[in-house]
Amino acid sequence: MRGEQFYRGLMRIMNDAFAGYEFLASVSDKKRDLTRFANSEIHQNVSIEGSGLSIMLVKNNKLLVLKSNDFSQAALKSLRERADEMIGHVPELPYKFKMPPLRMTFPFEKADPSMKEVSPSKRAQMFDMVKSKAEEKNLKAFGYIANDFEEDVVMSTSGLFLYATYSAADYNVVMMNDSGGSSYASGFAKSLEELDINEKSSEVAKLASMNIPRAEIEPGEYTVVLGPEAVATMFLYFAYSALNGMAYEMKTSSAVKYLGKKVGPEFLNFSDDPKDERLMGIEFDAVGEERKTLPIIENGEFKSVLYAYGTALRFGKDPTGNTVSLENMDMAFPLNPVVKGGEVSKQDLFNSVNEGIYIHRFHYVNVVDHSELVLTGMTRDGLFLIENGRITKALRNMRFNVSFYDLMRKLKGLSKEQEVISSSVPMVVPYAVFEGFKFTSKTDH
Amino acid sequence: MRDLLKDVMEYLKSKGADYADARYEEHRLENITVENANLKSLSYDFDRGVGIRVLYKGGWGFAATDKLGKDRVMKAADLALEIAKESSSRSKGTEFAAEEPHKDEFRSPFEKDPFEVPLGEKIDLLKEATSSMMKKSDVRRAVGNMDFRKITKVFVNTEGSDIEQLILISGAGIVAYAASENDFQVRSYPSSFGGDYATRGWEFVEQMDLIGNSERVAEEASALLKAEEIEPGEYDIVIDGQQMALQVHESCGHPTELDRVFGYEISFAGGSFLQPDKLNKLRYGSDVVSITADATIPGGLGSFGYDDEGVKAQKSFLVKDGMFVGYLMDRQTAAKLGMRSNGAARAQSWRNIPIIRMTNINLLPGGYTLDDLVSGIDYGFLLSMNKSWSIDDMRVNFQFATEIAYEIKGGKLTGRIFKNPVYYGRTTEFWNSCDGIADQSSWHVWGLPNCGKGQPMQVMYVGHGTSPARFRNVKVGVAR
Repeated sequence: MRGEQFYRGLMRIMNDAFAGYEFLASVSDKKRDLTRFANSEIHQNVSIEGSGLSIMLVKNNKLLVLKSNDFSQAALKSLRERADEMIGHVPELPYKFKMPPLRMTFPFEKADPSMKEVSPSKRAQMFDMVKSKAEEKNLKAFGYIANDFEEDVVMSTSGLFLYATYSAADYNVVMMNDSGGSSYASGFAKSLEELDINEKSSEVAKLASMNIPRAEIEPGEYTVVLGPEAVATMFLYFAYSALNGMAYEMKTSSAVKYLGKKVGPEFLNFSDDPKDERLMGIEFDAVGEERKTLPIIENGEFKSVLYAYGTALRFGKDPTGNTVSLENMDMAFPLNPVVKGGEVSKQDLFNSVNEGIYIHRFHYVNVVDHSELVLTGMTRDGLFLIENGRITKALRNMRFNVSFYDLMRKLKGLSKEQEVISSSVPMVVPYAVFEGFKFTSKTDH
Repeated sequence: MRDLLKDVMEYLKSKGADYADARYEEHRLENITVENANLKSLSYDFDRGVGIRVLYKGGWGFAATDKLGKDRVMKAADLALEIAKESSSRSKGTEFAAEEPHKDEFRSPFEKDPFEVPLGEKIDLLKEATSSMMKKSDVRRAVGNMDFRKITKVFVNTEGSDIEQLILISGAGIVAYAASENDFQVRSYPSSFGGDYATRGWEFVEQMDLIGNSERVAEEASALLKAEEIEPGEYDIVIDGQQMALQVHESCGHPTELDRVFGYEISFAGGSFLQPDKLNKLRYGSDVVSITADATIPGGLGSFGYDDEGVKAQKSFLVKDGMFVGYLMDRQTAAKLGMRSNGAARAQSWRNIPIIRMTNINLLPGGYTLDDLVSGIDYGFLLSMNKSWSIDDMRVNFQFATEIAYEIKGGKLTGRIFKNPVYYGRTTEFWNSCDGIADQSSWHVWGLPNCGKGQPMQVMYVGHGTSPARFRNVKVGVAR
């Protein structure tokens, strides 16, 4: 890692290199190590260090973005030459662009120091633990264990300078029995020591060994309990399809119909919460806007869509601190998503189901119809019959087609217990019970 | 850099590595997006670095860096070796199929370098196309985009290979989003999700005629707002070439990846129903279905000179006359079957290890015209342009949505259209219901730039040569 002073120096160099332009730059340096295993062997084991500079240049209300992972003076000079060549062809923006306001803060030193240098043997020892838990039940182990250390900087000619360091550790584990029945877990923490891989591996082993033999059910509507991985998938697709302020303003989002409406019961709360200590707690977005706790669904009401910086300027809104990149300043996404837990325990949630299905996880979910947020996908790594509140029988996987909004209307309960899972972004989620979940076709396994 | 990488190879050999390779890559990318006749974003990206892979006593290690001083590259080599040693004690050993060393160069066959085309010309083309789409009052959002990538790769390994490649990629597309009070619909051209791509130059974009197709795209998006949905049921259908590309990708390309078959992707992308006991025994499709993996097609998005293990680009059959006959392989997985790699090891960039990826996976053309295929249907639909895709982790149960369905009645297209069409089925049942494939005149290699796989995730650009094809008794529409 280069340290804050390096980037302050880089800022001075960039001020010279891009004189005559206003600029907003997002800079990062990251190291990620990942050990991957399959069939209870390590088969891929990588260490990647890389940096990135995205610089948005503005002149006469014309805007372009240049990127490079070469920070040398020669490379910056070359970028400047390219900018001069390109800017003449760029038309003016149809709205008045202004730089994000000046913000001065102390550095956000949020990384766990133990994560700066992690030896491959550390991850290998964690793999040994997962493997032994699988072997105890005659299962094979698959998955990965990874650690990250990164520094992020946002700087601008208007005096903005933000510096943060973050660390992260994440994993997923699949265990599979001889007949192909499996289970799955994932997790996220700020250090390898804090990962819950030990306890979750035990649960995975238990569920995977129960996933045999698998009976077939017919397509139709069922009461279901969704495990945290499955709940997370539903809300991530909601975020991807329905929360972008740009699509809302252009009337190409289901939020046009549902924003401001009751979409679920009182106990349904979904937020983007950078203050949640279980997540990475990213402090600012790609343009340096502070990330704030933002209620998205509050007491069942769809309260907010997310405004990226460009969309906010264009439509006269306040940016919500969710801009993902300088290249696309209309793209907004919640990086700290949290579904609030309910009032009842996980066991009581299961007990509330006399006859139903437990869905551990979904696979390859996609949006069939954005206007009603109809999702399709498969179940995976564990589909079980629930009888009198207990898992009694393994089932073959099924395809579903459900509208997110229709499903939320049928939400009957959330567990008090939440889990931190590692998906496209880390997420905090509980178990959930829904009535009338529609399975539409079968598969062979 | 080449000399430094060769030094690294000698160094790793001296340290006991059984095998090592290194790639230096430079990627230059230009992206232009125009929305409603206004420039929305313009970006240029330069990215370069080195990835070093080491095999030591059956264990793999890989380290990548963009810090390119000699000391940092040597440090990466040491780290790759250290990681490989750690892996070796937890691996049952790695066989590695033989490959002769190659010293060669390859260059994508382009005529006009898109990076030398004036930026204003490119922006103006997209402005005109999106402006034309906006003339339709229902169209709320008209988007056009172009992507150009120039990738230079140097590959060396401890076996003596020394390969330099220049891969040039061009892609473009337009999209019209029409909205009414209660609905919104989308139409894309020439392909959805970013357009069509090829390892060709600016001439590829010129041939698309984006402006000439913009009015039709807008009109169809608008017309879909008033269209009905198909009554769910079983129908005979024709699927257009673009959607066939996705069908081939999901239900043939992925399940023939031998790393999936051996379980290496279980923790993310999934496995495959095409286990080795089915090789040369399973009737995958009807007699008319033959599918190849062919990285040698000039201009195909999955074309190259050598894969990222230094194996020469080649063509092989995955399905021949309906029988399942082959896999996509790298040197490691091919050795497990006692075979040679067929050149499918590809890495997204210097940051990534090569894993098995599709090249150009092609449904070979048949002997019919599109009119012939339509004329063989009493009542059914022509489904066009992918809108959504999903398939189970073993690649059996799939469901696709397309942007539009055109009604077929009495062997003719009636002109009536339907919105939100969905079809679903099981892979081998579906391919065995194929009774006709359109001929070479409508065969095109579609470029998909966004295939995700692996941990860390890698996004790969792959190609699919397809033409429209006819399938009998397919389930269309899902009751909500």
